[in-house]
Amino acid sequence: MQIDIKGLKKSFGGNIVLDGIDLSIEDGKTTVIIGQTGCGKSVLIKHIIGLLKPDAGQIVVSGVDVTQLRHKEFSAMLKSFGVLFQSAALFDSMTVGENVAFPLIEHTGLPDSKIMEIVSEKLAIVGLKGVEHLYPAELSGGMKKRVGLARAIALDPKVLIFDEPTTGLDPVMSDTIDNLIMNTQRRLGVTSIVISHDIAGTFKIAHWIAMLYKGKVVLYGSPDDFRNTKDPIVRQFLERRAEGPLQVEA
Amino acid sequence: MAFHPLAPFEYIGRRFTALLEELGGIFSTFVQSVILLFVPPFRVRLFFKQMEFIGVESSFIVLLTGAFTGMVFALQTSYAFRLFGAENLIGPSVALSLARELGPVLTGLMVTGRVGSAMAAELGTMKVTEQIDALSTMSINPVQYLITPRVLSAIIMLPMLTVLFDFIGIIGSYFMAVFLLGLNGQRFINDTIYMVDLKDVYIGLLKAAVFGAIIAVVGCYKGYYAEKGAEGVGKAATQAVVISSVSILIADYFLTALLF
Repeated sequence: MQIDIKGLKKSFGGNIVLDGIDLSIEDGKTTVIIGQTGCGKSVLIKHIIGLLKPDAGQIVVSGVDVTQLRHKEFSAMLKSFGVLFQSAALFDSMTVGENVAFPLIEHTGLPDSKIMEIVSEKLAIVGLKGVEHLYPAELSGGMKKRVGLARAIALDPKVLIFDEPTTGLDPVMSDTIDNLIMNTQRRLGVTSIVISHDIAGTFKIAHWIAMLYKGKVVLYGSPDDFRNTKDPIVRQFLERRAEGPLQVEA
Repeated sequence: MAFHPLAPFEYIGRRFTALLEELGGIFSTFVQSVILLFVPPFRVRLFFKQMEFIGVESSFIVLLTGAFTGMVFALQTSYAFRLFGAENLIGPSVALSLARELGPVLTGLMVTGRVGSAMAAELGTMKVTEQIDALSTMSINPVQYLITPRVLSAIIMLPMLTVLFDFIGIIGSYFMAVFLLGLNGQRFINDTIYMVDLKDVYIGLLKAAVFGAIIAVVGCYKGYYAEKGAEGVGKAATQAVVISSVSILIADYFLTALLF
């Protein structure tokens, strides 16, 4: 699914968070959105999945402006989306198996035996076996993210959204999650949107990278474009330097 | 900073607007939850789960409070009625007070403490850990999934708990009157049945249903809009109990004035 974001604007109170974002997310590729904390990455994602309404602009998914869709039509479209939240957002009153089965029970009407089969299959894709009976509180951070990913791909979505998938994980687990994102994207041929602060991971998984700064896209291009850019803002961010045009908000 | 003569008015205005916004939000949550009751899918399992949590699991504290309220009320009224030699009025006055006021109000307050705070804390935790956002992105209406079953269950279970409260309260007062104060048991029952109208009980139960709606809607609303992590969840739970308790007492006054 091709996603085109056109002139997207959003303010909270007097604070302008998105100031006319123009961005194309290519069908079947992984686009990583990077930028400082508080630059509007999560707000942008929340607009794509309908959790926020824009002040102005369009989000066109496969030719349809989703900001104009009615609730029912938007809900139907959302079934093509899978989201892995920063905190994994597993339902803590349900077991791992029930979490992964949840979208299937809600939207497919499949018999229980078939649902359990799909749950095991999705958990195997993320490298987990025999954990169906555990509760989220019994899982490590990395396992939670993997279960969250298994739940996100339960309905075989066309678009996968990852909100800071490696934040808070050790480097080895981060790389494991990066590999999972790449493998899932290749295996299912999905359009992936990843929000990240992890520079090494970004260069590993991205087909395209967009950097946000002060509510706008400062650079959009391939990983090579980012490696070769002379833009001082992008360079400072990639080189992890405190000195430069990017300032930490007081 | 210089004092602006209009500052107090600005402050009052801001607080008043915030109050109106909150009341509007609570009312709108109630209306949404009721409308979504008639929209499929119908989540019967969630209704039963909530009815068990709100009703069955609250029955012990309601029994305990009801029994002691009836007993203490019989004890207190006996002092006054004895002065006039009207001890036979202990039964009817306890039963009337329980059915019309104490049953629904005390049940409401007890359930607020147990259920209202739990609803706010549970939904608040779900909100700050993105579980409510996760429901939305799975095309599931969070109000229908989380709030509608709680509101309906509370509206159904509060009157049932009130019946339990009234019944056990009257039993408690009977034991006090008959075994401790030496009144005639048969007369206690006859006077109570003669003086208490079924209308008193019905209106008490109607009040309880309204209190049930208040507890669930306020608890869910505060949790659903909780912010700022653990502190926000704690604040939501506290506010849910305070707002529900005060609202129950205010609503009780107006319902009594209107219905009796």
